[in-house]
Amino acid sequence: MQYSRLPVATRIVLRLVAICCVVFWGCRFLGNDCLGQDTTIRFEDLSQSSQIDFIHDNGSSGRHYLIEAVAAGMASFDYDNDGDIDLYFVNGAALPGAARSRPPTNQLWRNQGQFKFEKPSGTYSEDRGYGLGVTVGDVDNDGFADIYLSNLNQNELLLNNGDGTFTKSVDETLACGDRAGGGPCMLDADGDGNLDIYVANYVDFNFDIQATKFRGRTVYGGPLLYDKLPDNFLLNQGDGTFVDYSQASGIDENREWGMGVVCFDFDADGDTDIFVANDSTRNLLYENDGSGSFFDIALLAGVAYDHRGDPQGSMGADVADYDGDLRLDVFQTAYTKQLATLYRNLGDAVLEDATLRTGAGKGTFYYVNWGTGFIDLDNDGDKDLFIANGHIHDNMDDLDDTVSYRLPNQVMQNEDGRFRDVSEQVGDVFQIEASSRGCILDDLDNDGRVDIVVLNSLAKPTVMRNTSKPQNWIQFQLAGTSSNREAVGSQVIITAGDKSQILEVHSGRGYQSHFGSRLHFGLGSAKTVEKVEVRWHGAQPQVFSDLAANRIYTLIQGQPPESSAEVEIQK
Amino acid sequence: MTEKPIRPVIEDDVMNTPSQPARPGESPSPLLRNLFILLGLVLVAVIGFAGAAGWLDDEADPPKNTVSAPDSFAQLETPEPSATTAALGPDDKLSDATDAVRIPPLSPIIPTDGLAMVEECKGVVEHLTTSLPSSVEAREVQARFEFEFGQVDEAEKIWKTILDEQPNFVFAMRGLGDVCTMKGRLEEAVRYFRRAVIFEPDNLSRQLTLGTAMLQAGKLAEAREVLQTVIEKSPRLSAAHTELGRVESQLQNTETAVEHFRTAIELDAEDSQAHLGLATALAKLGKRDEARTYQQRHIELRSEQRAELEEGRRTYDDAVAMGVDIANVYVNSARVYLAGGLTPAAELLLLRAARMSPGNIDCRQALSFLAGQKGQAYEAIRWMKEVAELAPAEFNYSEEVARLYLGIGQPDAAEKTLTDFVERNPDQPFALRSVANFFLEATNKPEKAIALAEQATAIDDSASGHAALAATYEKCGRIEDAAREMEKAAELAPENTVYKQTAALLRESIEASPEENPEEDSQDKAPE
Repeated sequence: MQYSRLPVATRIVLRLVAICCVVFWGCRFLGNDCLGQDTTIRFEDLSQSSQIDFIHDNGSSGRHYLIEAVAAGMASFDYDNDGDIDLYFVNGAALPGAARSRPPTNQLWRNQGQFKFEKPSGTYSEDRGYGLGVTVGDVDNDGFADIYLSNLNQNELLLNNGDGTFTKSVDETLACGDRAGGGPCMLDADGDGNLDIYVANYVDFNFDIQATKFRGRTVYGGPLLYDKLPDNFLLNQGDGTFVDYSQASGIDENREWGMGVVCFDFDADGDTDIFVANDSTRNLLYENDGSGSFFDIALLAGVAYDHRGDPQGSMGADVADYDGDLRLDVFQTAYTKQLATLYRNLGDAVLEDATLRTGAGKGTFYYVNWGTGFIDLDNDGDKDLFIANGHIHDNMDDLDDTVSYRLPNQVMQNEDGRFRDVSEQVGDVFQIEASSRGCILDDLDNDGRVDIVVLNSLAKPTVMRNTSKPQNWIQFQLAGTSSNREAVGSQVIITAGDKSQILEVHSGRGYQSHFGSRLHFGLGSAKTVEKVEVRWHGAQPQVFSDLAANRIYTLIQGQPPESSAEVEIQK
Repeated sequence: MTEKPIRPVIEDDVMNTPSQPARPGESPSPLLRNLFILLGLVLVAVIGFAGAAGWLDDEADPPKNTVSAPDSFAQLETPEPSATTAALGPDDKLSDATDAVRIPPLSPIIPTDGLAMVEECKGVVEHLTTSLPSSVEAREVQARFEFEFGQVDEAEKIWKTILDEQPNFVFAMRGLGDVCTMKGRLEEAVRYFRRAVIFEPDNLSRQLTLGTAMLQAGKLAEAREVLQTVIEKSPRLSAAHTELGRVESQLQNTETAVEHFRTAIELDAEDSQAHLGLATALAKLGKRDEARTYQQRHIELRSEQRAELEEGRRTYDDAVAMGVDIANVYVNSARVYLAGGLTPAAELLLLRAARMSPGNIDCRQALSFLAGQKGQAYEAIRWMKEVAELAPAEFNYSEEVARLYLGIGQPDAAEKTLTDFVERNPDQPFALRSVANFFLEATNKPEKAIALAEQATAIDDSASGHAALAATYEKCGRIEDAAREMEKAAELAPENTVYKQTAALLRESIEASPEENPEEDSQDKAPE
């Protein structure tokens, strides 16, 4: 039948259909930006080609000790100061009932560049304790980052010798007794230029406490079966020794089931405060009085509970300014049937649960979330969110449709302060299902795009290279002189075009992990940063002007910036 | 036509065996065979009940009486139960007489393993849906079972099928809302809950669920609208005020949120979350001192709740908890069996539920009802007494026990039941008045009636309280007192013309024939 012989109405309908098809497929071909649905964030899976063969071992034997379910965190940092960010995976150890022919150890993987990693031998970084959390910071201000590990039993400080090897500190204070540690972090609490250590403690662990039976099956019991412990605060005396300052600082007045920790200056008063994400109970927000004494203000500050006033199974936490008001906001992951929660900082020591309004928790309700981080994944100038997922129950998939041990991870794209779950659009690597725990977000190939590595329980890590559409960026590696060497607690505020952004250097964040010592800003189309203000922790700020984009700057306190060569933006 | 194959009945799986036709010549005659079965089962039942549980308590079986139905069963049409396995406990061994009835496949011994419990329950639910294939309620029970025990996808499938067939079936809408919530499909959950509310517009609980679901899904403006409607209909529902306070907080209407949190606390001073909501909202408004007051109260309330929660978690016993959950499934299944006319199956499940869940009131209430239906008054009383013991502050149950005793001509036992209750619960005016009426109407003891009625009014100094006392006085012939109390009622509720008129009538009657009031002279001697 000829087209012209069709009735007029039919021809109109056919034309409309044709136009719609052209518009639809055209938009898809052009990247779909015009539909407002697509994202430019992309990741590819380099787990195999990265050569990392670490397999996490939670030491399980089927007895289902709670501690197996919550292990472990990981770290990214440049341990050999070669400009490439290296990886450190925390591992478990054989628990009663489990036999291992070769004891599992933590593993340091050196970044060789081009997304290739090698496991250097003889570094003495392979702690054999049952590892749970890790943080990194230069506790002796020697210019080389040290590792602090929170373990099931005694914690460890591995001092970086600067020659590619580490030495265990013999200071017994650092062990924190035999407590089952949660997230550790470092902060200069009293502004003396030395990094102190905060360790959240999870439970008063006891192998005699039986696992829970659920519907006839042995499963991991929750923390409620165990007594709570106060957290530890260790004050660095600057001479290589630490004192247990938990009582004097007011930290041990509270006992909760501690998980992720992040330290930040929440009230912009120049000292570092502490947010502790606690499992199945209220969170803590310790306000620092500037001298290293702390007082919990979480309840009135609005971060103890979620918007319903319910305690959450809080896991990991991170902070960043998601809405461009230059105040640091808090994002916290949670257990299944709860929304991961975004607390917006309103100033005046008040935060509010902005999860529902911003969509930050959308898509998280079904999952158990662990590792997380705020980072500008598409370099558009605002902070997106990454969330690592995985259930604790490893034997319920066949019994319960609502329990999946292995789950895909998520990316929430920030669009002018509202978040959209774009996980299904950012690459096949986000379809991989694993039981993820800690994660790191850092630029592992120095291409100006932040990559992601995720520690998966009982499996190899997932290594994700950021291949998003290139946009301008700038990175800063800070080095304190009067401030602590890693510049932990220092803030950088940049202004590029009409947009200002703030970042703070943290030691310890996400789920019992450490990453992001090198600060990364996405700049969108801006090729120059007009103003950079560095608020050194406990010291006078410095201001720099007109720094070119797409470079990594080293900012040594009191000195002008040193720039790397311009990194060509890959097309 | 092919003859069905016969397989031997094995003792352990006898309960699984559906009714099977006998082979010709295998038994003397169907009539005789059934008679033997009937007699055997009655014997087993009597021995089982009397011996195993001591239910008869040395009392002779009374004549038949009619037991009033508990609420949840009142609406069901319950056919006359046949004397078969209905009276059997699940541990009782059955003969192949079970051919005569269709009973769900319960194992002879209650499983102690959680997985085995679920398997057995699954078999029961399948039997239910197979026995009553056209019953949508049976499939609802099945879907709820699948949902509660983790097979959410299967539950969703069943509920969707039900909705396809019966688009107005509210239970399926609610079930699908629950499924979507569980799966994190919060917006879809809202759609189902909203649909359910359309069919149950007066159900405030459903509307509250909808409002909560909307809040959770981030539909703040819609949540506000729904919750405002709930509050319009029920301004004293504290949970609605707390929820609306949360919504207003999210909408950044902090002042309005404060109002709702304050109202919630006025209505329920123990609402820890309203205290927290108010504290954080006040902090947001900069009223930190006042905020700290509510924060402190919140901490106190929360610590009490938390201690309970932690204790519950530490003492959690999977087998016990599963027993409770599965007993609920069995009770719901029993309801459907009853509605479908399969009373023996229902009764068997109710008995099993009672054994699995010592705290389950529903099954005991239903068993009492069924026993009453069969004229087994002592069984009915025994079950209802268990219910009353489980809920010692609930007057209705003790009242029901008393009514049952009266039904078999034991007013003393009835009186003891009621007086025990009011001694245990001296602060329940309604119960006191009801027992007062009992003394008037059933045992003719006006002094006791007056004492209790006065006790009730001392607690409940309301217009209706005085009016009730007046009625008691009047029934006891103390018209002067009756008139005085009715005048007091009229004074307390001047808008109530009935009180006023009744008081006037009482006065008139006193003035008309004062000599006819025999009690007048002895007023001062009336018991206080």
